[in-house]
Amino acid sequence: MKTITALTFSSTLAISALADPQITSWFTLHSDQPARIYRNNAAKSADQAVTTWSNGRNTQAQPAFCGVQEILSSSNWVYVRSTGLGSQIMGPWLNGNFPNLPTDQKFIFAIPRHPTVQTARGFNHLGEIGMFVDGVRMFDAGDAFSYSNRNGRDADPRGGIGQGDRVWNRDALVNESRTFDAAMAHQQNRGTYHYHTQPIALRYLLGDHVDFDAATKTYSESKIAPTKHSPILGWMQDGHPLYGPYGYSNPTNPASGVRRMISGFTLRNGENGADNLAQTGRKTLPAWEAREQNRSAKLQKTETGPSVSERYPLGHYIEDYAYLGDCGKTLGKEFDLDELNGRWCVTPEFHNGTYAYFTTIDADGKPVYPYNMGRRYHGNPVGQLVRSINEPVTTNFVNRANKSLTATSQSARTTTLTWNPNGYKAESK
Amino acid sequence: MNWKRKTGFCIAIFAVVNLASAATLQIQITPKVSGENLQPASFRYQTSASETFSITRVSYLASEFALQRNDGSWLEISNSVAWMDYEQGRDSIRLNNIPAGEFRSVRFLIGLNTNLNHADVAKFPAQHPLNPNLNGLHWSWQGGFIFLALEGLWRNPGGEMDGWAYHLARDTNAVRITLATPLEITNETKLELDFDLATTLNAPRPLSFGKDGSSTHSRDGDPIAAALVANLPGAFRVHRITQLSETEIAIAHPQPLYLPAKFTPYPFQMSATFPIPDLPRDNPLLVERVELGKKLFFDKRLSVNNQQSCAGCHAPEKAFSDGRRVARGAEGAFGTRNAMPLFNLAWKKKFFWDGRAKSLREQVLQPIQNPIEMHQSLANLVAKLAQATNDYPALFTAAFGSPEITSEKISLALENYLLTLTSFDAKFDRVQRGEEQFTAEEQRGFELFSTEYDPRRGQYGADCFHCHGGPLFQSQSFANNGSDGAFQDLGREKVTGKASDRGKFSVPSLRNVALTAPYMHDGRFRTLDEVVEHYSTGIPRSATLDPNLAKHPDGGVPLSETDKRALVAFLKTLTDAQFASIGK
Repeated sequence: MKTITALTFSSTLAISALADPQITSWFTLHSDQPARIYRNNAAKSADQAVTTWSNGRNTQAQPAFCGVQEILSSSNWVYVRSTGLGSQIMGPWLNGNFPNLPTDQKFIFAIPRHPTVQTARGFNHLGEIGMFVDGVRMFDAGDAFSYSNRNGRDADPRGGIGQGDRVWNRDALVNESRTFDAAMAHQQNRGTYHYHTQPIALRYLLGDHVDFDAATKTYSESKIAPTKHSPILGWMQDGHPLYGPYGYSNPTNPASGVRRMISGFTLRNGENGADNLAQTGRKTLPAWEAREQNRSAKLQKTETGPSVSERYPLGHYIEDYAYLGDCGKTLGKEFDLDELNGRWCVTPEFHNGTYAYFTTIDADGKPVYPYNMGRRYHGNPVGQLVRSINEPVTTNFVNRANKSLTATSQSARTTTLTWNPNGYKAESK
Repeated sequence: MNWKRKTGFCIAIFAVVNLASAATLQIQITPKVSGENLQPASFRYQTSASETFSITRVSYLASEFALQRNDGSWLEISNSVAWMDYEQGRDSIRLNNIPAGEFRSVRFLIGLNTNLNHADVAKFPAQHPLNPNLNGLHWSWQGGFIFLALEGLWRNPGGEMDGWAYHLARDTNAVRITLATPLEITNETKLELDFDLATTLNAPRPLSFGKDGSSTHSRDGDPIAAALVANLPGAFRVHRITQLSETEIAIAHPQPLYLPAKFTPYPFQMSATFPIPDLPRDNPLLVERVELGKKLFFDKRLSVNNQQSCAGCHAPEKAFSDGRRVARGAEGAFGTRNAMPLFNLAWKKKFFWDGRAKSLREQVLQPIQNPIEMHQSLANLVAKLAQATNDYPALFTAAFGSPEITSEKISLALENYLLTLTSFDAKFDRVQRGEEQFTAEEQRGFELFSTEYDPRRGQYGADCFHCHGGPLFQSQSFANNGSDGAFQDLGREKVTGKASDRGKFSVPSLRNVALTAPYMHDGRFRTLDEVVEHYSTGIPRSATLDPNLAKHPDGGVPLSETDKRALVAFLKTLTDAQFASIGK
């Protein structure tokens, strides 16, 4: 009897002692190191990273630290102050020819500690959807541009035709990956370094089944079979975690082994029960999107997209993907993740279960749609960047190196030495 | 003239008083490598990873000496601190007033306790082992001392000459050394210890420059520092104990030379952050003597043709330099080296770029006589000064107590004046006192200046402070700063005759550096930008390249253009405008 009581007691303790992953999952190992970049391929080959840089447009004149600088919390919020700069050596981008360089963003990201389920349908305004645990921003699958039916071409960063119709939305990986660095990240015009897909450099730093080749300075998915559940890679603005690609085989059984989570999306190429846009033309929205927008899948003439071609291959747009649940496949059997790219499951950090997103990759480690999150959050996305913290908070972490070197302050200004037959006498004032 | 005047010293001889209760223990610690005497700067050693290396510097602090009585209790010897330095031949500490008797072990600390490590270093007397100007082991803006500095060169896997510099520091890394040995202390006992550097670098934790890194500054979690801390306790061994017979110990008590009956002590002024300098006791700073020295300094009659004074090459507005690439003499001849700026000389022990003069009074007479400089014989000079004006005899009387003019008195007066040239009111100093603020660019430059370049430990500074550290922005050392790979000017080697000194020159102060262009011993660089570029991309490897430079990538420390500009901006904060107006 006594023994049983003791056991019960200790297991209770173990649960209550689980630290809050919203506070403990952040990667702070490099927080006291200066963020660094390679300006171009030659600098990368020679291992000549710099801690300050400028291209006239984005300037980092003083070194900034890597990523997370402070973690603060109240009962309802966790606040993470970050430079937004990666912990790995960043760059180069397009061998130094990409017009943007990353800069210290000095942001404070507020994450709700008690996520609430979003009941309304409809796409959320996307773009920046969360923050990775290294303090780097997470962007959604799109690149902010879409097809312009009237102009017969994509809107793109060259401008002139706005951002397009927002019907056929471009996939960032397909359209921007040539500007990614080895970590698979780049920055927009104001210097916000970000990932659109899996953060492979962060996964390497976290030990999430990624190898790094020091000679070529490239990352790749490890060839060895995965044996452990992926760590938390980041937090979405709805307060739910994003995990690496490997979750428990059985969502509710931590002893069921781990495997790569299978995305719920497939190309609309006639396979896996999906329709074939190459035959039909881009004249219908995928069912999941029509459902979200509460409209007919059939598009008006002014909304149709370009024919599938070399210039507009399948996968060029997010709407080129069908949800497997609409193709006669069953969630939890033939694929793991729902339309939002998550599932309810237990994880090493949430023994009682949580809604969790998983980054999606294929067997070779290549990111596959929807990468980190579908086009809507599971919870209410109340998390956001804030300018200041206006409530009492507890400091959970602070980078103690984050104070500039100061010249010591002296009270005495001058010392005077004067000779007498016994030697020199010193007086300070 | 008697012998006293020649040497400037009166030697007092004391015999040690043989008191049963008060004895002296002399502890001598000799650096060894695997039991053999250290062969400095010789590429004869190998790490366990078969890397060939040399050792060029062994400098450390030992403190808290204590002796264990046979009953197990410890006798702590208060204020026992030693600075040991192989190159300077400093290998001993004398512990006085120890009760004679039998002891069973000795212990000491390599390093300092927290209080001592963070004491106000500007308060240590000139001869104190912890005076930073003496030991060169203080890290001014990082706080605390380097406990142990081991440096040298090694051949990296690419076959290149590379540098290594292990600097053990920080409170938690002080290492307690305890040696069990029966020790009978009589009136004068000498305990000789070996300090084995092979063990220090190798056992029980072998270090490899390639694998573990070629430098450490002992930041938190640094594995090299941890290995040194693990290895040091086994690196010390008792070599032998000897009882010395009554020893005569000579203590020099320098007496003031030519002290006039009436004098005014000169108030020598310096920053309260500067270490206390070892001002000459035999040539006390007197207002009268400084005035005479100043007059001599600006007097063109010191040159053969009355065309050039000392100030001809040492103009006050240029921090007493001349703006020329190399110096130009009274008769138009050019020398081979850049005229050195003159300030804060009280903290120097050797003068000229190659350090050939051991005192200022020795130094000042050389340019006067040098055929390509002022080209004047001392006899001529004395005669000229005695005849030319009736000012001088009176000035000599005031300064030295008699009107007689001699070259020695001339040198003493010039030494007096030159010692008073202290510069310590730059923007940097005002920032330090909280009166002004750095711009963001200057602050960045300061951080670069004061931070090491050590990618393995995540440090990406410009690593300037190793040689130009401390509030004086100089060190007393001579270094090959990578000006050349092959040497036309052998520098310090010409003075010492040692090949290991090839291409080494005095490390100048960086105070007022914006006023003292052009730069380097031969004035090769016109601007500070060129100097910074040199340290970033222009350093060729050679056998005597300073280890603190050799440890960097080929060419030097990688710096972005922004960082290079920031460094120059910081260097400009070292200009002392008030000092530049002296003598106007």
